[in-house]
Amino acid sequence: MRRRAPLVALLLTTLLTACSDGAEEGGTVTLVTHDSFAVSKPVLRAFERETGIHVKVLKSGDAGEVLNQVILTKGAPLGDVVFGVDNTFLSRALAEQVFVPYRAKGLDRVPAALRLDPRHRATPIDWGDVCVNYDVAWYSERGLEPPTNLVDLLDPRYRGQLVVENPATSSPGLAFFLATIASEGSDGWESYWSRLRANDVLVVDGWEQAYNTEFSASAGDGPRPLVVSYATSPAAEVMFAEPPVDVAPTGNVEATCFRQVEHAGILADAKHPVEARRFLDFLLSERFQADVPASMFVYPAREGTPLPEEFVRYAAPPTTSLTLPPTAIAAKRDEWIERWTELTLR
Amino acid sequence: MLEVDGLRVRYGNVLALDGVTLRVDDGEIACILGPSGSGKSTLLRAVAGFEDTTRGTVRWDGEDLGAVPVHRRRFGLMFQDHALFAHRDVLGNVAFGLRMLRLPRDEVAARARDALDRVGLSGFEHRKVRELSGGEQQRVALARSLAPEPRLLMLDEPLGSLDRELRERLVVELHELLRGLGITTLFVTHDQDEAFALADTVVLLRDGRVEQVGTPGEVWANPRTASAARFLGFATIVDVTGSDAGIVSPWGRHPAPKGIASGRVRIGFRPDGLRIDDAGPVPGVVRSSTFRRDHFLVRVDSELGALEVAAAEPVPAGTPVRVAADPGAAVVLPA
Amino acid sequence: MTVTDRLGRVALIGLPVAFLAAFFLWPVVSILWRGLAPDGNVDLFAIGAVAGDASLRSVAWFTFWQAAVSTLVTLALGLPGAYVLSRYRFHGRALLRALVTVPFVMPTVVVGAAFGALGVTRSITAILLAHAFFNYAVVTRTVGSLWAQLDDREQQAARVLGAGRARVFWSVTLPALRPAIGAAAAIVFLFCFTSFGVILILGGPGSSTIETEIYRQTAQQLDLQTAAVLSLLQLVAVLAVIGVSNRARRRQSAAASLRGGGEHTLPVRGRRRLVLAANLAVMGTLLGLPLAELVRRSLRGGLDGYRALTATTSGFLEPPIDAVWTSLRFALTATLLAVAIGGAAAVALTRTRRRHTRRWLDALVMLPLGISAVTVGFGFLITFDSPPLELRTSPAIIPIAHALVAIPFVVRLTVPVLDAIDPRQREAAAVLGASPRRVWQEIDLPIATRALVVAAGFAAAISLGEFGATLFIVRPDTTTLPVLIYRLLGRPGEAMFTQAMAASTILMILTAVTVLAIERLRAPESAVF
Repeated sequence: MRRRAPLVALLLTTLLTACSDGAEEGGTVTLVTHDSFAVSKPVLRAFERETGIHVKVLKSGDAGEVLNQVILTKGAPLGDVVFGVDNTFLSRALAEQVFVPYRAKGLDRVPAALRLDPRHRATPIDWGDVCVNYDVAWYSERGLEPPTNLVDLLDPRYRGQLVVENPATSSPGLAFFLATIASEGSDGWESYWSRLRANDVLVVDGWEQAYNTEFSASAGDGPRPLVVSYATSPAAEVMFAEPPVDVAPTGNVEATCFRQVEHAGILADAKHPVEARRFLDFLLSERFQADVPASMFVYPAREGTPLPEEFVRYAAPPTTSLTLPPTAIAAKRDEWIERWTELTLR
Repeated sequence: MLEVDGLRVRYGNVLALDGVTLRVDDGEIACILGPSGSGKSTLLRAVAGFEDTTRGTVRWDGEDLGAVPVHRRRFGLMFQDHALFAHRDVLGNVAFGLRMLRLPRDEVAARARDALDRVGLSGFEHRKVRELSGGEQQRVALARSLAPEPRLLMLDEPLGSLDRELRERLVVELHELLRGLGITTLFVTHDQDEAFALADTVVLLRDGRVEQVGTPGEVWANPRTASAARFLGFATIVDVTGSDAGIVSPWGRHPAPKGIASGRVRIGFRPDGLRIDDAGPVPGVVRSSTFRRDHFLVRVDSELGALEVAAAEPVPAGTPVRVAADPGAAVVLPA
Repeated sequence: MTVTDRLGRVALIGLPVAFLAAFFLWPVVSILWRGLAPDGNVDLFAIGAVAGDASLRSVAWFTFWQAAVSTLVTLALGLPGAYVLSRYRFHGRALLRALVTVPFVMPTVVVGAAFGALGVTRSITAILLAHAFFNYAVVTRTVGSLWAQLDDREQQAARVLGAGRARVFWSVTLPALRPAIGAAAAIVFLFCFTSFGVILILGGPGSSTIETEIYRQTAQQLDLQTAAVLSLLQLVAVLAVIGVSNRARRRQSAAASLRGGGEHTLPVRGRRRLVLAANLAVMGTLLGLPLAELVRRSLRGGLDGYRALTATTSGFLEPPIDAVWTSLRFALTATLLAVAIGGAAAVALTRTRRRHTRRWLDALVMLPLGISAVTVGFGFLITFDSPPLELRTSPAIIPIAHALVAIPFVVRLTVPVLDAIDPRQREAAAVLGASPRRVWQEIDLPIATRALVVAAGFAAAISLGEFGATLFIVRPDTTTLPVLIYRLLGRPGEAMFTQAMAASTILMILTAVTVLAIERLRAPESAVF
């Protein structure tokens, strides 16, 4: 007995310390978000210090999974604020009535084009573009020009060069798929994909495989010089290059870009609605917005927010982007994906 | 004083003990002797408290032990395969029972060393039990059983797994040790030599029943049943007819013990009670001769049945011989 | 039996049953019920429509045959390895045995990246090789432990009777090993049947199994009804496999107890050199190459990848290296939980005399290995949603999820050892005055402790590498090593990839050290699993 006692005590203390966080005097707000959410430590600490509100961050899976978890737990929500519902999922979130309206401070500084919910249940926080990236060196070594638009991708010159993600399992994959629909129309996209398939497009399940394994630039060493990634990826390639470089090794095919706008919202039945509102204000505050580019590699929603130097030089926002209304996406997404799966994978 | 009364133990459909009654007085060494499968080990286990008894009682000094769990009976049991604790050294094994008594640490160590000394294993304290020879393991097991000074020491085939020479030497040592301690002892064996060398009282057990109880001398000389006789070396057993005049066989008239009625009875001889003799009354033909340490065992087919006879010289198979006997060497048994 | 003993016995069964009921059965049943009867009534028609779907049948068929073929491939590669690792005597055998175990606990994301870098990807071959990579150690350990103790005399007898080498193997050795092979095959089959990451990452987007379909239907589509039907299908299959496996193991314990003696090892001479070399080549190619690839990629740019892990990078609240400590902390908690609960279950399993209790408790303990992590994870969300069990958002849920995965291993490692304790030892202790509790303390515990230490090391390794279950539960912002690797892999920039590889290498080393340390304590008879 005596020998077992310390073991039991250790077990209990580890469990108890693991359980007993949160609940501090200044109030708490719980943020439910996806794996890609990030914020610099000083920025978050400053909010906590100024408001006395402790921020608890819960992460789980990608944007789609988070929204599904939020829908599943309606009535007994996981937290107070959700971050990371983009325009491809927005209508679903609104239809499921998981958010309550709140007009955040600073919303008037957000361009009207990003404000997709007139009732302010979902507040736009950042936006980013999913674009086809190309390997600069690959094309220059061969004396070739990279493609310039979606139609170029069907050209035999670019045969076997593109790797895309499965829209059923990957958020950039879905964005690129929607770009083709936005560009070719709901009648034209099927024939576009048939021809893309005939031009030997490679479909993989996730961005990690596409970018890290199949893509010829970056860490990939793969065979394909075209990949569906983000408009900010070239900037990231400069910021995290080994050894440092001053020319971006990759570039965007601008006419392929599809715009994703990420939203946050206050959960219905949130336990801390007051703190949740403060937090939503914080997400649109100058300080948080300025931190967005370097932390999450997307563009801040608030106009006039200064961008980091690398963004200015290597990741200028695409001038035009393809997009689709959230309601259209919500209405047709499952049908489209099913059709796409039959067309492309079977 | 141990009293076992009408003890019955059942394993499924098999009756392992069928109404065993016996008594072991203080300081007495009692031996349960019987062939394998006779229920000897079951009896020890029942006395130790491991078996659920269907019927009957086990008492110590008059106290019924039925509700006393194994660990409170203060009996010692030395298992046939010793069951030493492989994860402890020699001293750890011997000290185990003393530790269970919650004695002070010094006393435990001192008494465990004493016990080891008694079995001649001083200096073996920190050896691993796996590294010991069979004889050494047996001594450790004995020391372990003795160390807590049990009220009753039980030994299950204590020398069973050892080779013959070692066994013969250890039997003497064990005898001296048990006598010296004056400890009440109940042990079981299938080996008559062991039983008769050690015991004050021999209990013959067969098919879960007590066949005979007596001093080694009584039992050795006068087994009361044919099976007991056969077990004790009366290899030749023949049917004869008894009458009021006495029991008569081809070899002569045999003194009839009390209680054996007239009619059909049996007589038994050990091989040395019979001899090959041209003047013998029973004719037969030799089937085989086998070397035994100090004689040859000659098997003879006769009209009385197979006879086992001791002879100084081997006799070739097929030789016609005659077999003689001393009528007084026979034991008379019920049919 | 005294009252405290009886209470103790109830606690032994009660603790694991309560834990599994609360953290496994309840969430799983809740989510299945939500799917099958969204409004309180079971919609049999809709369920039938899902079950009768043709594409589901093809998914089920693919799941089955890829698992079966994966198992065969793993056995074909692993059995010779088991022989060499258990019977040959050569330098570095212990180290090799430990290294062979490392793949078993590597997160799939990392292995997927390594396989991809080697050009093995998007094919059924990639799936089969990856399954062999992960499960090689299951075969070498399960079968090797019995092989090491096989009595040579039977084989020698067969040789004396004129049987050739091949004949001896087929007619003597193989039948003797059959129970262990059966058990290993069942475990491997179970892993491959419910394999998730390997299928998603290496199978390419066309291949889907019941497990990946459950994931898609639950996490991506929130079609809980389809997911529930699929889960039930999976449950039935998994229970059947557990049943077969248990039957095989029962035969093994019977067979193994007939044999005595320690290990017999053979010096490596003559033809054995060739056999050893062939096996080393298999291990080197199948296991060594992908792991070496990870290390190689981590060293691109020298030690920069490792150095960068100690600095605070943008997007990370703490220096990434802190994930090591987080992982170790969770591993410690998960290990203590798994050892306490798995140990209690093992004791209860070996003590109970009722066959049915034993069988069901055993199946219950094994079940978490066969049920989709996403089902459990989403089940957590709708069950632990109110105080005092508002656990779904607490960090405590992570070690609990890890423990669910580790408990089956603790039980598998401990039960054979407890079963092997000679009951006579307990009786000897009792007759020397030890109460039942003292008997447990003095006899069972010291012997079980060794097995539990081994199990603890394994549990720690599993927790260190656990990713599947962690992915599907809501995690407070605490980053374990596998999650860190996943996050690093998810960001563009070559340096990020290098850092991910560096973190993978650290995870590999942590695992190898843990396994090697416990290998020294490993009781020879304790390796069924």
